Amino acid sequence: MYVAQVVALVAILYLLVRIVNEYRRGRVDWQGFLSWLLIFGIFAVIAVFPVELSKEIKDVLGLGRGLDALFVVSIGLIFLLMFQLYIEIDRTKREITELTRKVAIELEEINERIKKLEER
Amino acid sequence: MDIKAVIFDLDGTLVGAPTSFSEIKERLRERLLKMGIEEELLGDLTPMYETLLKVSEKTGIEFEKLHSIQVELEAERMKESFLFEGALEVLEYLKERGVKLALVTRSSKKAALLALEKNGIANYFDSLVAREDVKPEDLKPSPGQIQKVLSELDVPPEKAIAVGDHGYDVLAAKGAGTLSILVTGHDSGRMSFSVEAEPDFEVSDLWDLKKLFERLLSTYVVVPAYNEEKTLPSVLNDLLRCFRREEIVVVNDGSRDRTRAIAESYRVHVLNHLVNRGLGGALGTGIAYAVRKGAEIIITFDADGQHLLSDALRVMRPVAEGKADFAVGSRLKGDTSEMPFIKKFGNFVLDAITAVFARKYVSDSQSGLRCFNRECASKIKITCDRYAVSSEIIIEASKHGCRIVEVPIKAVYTEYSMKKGTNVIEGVKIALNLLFDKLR
Repeated sequence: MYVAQVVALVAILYLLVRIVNEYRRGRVDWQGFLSWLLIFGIFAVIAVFPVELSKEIKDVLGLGRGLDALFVVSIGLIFLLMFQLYIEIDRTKREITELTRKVAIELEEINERIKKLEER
Repeated sequence: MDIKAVIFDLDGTLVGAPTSFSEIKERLRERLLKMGIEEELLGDLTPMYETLLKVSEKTGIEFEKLHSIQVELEAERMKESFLFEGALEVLEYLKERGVKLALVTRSSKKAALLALEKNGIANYFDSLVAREDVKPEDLKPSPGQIQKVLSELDVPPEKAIAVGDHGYDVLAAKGAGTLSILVTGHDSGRMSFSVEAEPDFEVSDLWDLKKLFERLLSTYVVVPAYNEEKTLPSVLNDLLRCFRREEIVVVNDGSRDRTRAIAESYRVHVLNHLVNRGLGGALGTGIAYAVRKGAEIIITFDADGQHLLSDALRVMRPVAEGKADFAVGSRLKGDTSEMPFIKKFGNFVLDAITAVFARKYVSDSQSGLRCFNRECASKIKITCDRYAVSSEIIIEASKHGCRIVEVPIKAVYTEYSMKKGTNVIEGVKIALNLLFDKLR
């Protein structure tokens, strides 16, 4: 086993501990937890059998050297993930603005009503 | 707007008469010549009253004697006077809205009262200042008559509007510090000479005047504010000179300083964002609220003190007159001497990007001083939270077919507003934000 593999496995272990903790504290729902477990699982498999896997991918996709193929696929996946995140964050931001707006307007309208009642 | 009094001119504005002033002038000339006054002294008798004063001075003939002829001719003319279409409706509307009404005229009191009685509008007016009520030098175009009305009604000048059909009315209003409206479509009753003066608003007839008042009386000002405790008091004091408290909407965008407390102490509407959402978020909230309140016109005004109240009124003009749906105050069309080069350049780049999406070039797409009518404001959908909102509003307005105009304004660049406004990095962000947003 190469040093790089050990490093990768330690990193994956750390991420696993984190996601378990996040799940326990209720910050991640069970779907998210399972998806991340799956992703980390795949990473772990890649970390344990990098050479064999890269050969397989090379044979399937026909991309240069085995390890390069692995990089290309990973970058593609990460990009997709980032895009997904961008969309999600963007939507969340809009929802926060909408929420803030509704709260601000309704509070002011309630204040007005109270003022009117007090004047009576 | 906070309009407490409307000061009308009589002849040519509310009432007309078949006999023109030129004819009256001719008849007066004949009578004076018959009295043996030299033709040279009379000149062209413009304006009549002042000429009579001069004649009396030069000839020693008692002024009252000369003046009585003019009064007699004027009264005769007023016997045939008629109300312009829409006059009654305007007066009725203003009375209903609790606005005090006054009449200021260069004609004699007798003729004015006669016209009011004959046309059944005497009861609408709380104050009447005719020619004899002030010294000759205080007559329109001097502000004396309007000032007399203001003190009688106890209304400060900035809360009054003078309505007239002649440059003299506009000049008098300017001198007294009130706003002015020029009615341009009435030919009958207009004075026989013209004077150029730029009014604050212009309408063609009294129906349009009514529409103008309906819009002016429900104009809302949206002031987005984020950490503006230093400049907010002076901005609000300024706005309160022309607008009612309930027409000012401060959107406190999650400020961490005393912005909220200051805004609330002015008893204006304060909408509090619990967390900071950026300029776009704040504008969206303020505009949505104003539309809910039934605003006919919505102005957006920055809280950092870079806009002048007089510019806000100018930006408002085309929208209030019904000639545009959306007006942008352009700092680049007006005096740009105070604008630093980097700002000019940055503005140009953002203008260009905005123009591509909006298919309309606006010389200052990043301006914070804007005015919408109700229809346009309710069509615009704001999705950008940050500064890119300025471009987004123009793009949206253009997309929905709103008539867009630009009005030159002056930007006041203080060290403070420079620090707070958009800088280069912010400019790049706006550009990126716009690109991404429009790809969606």
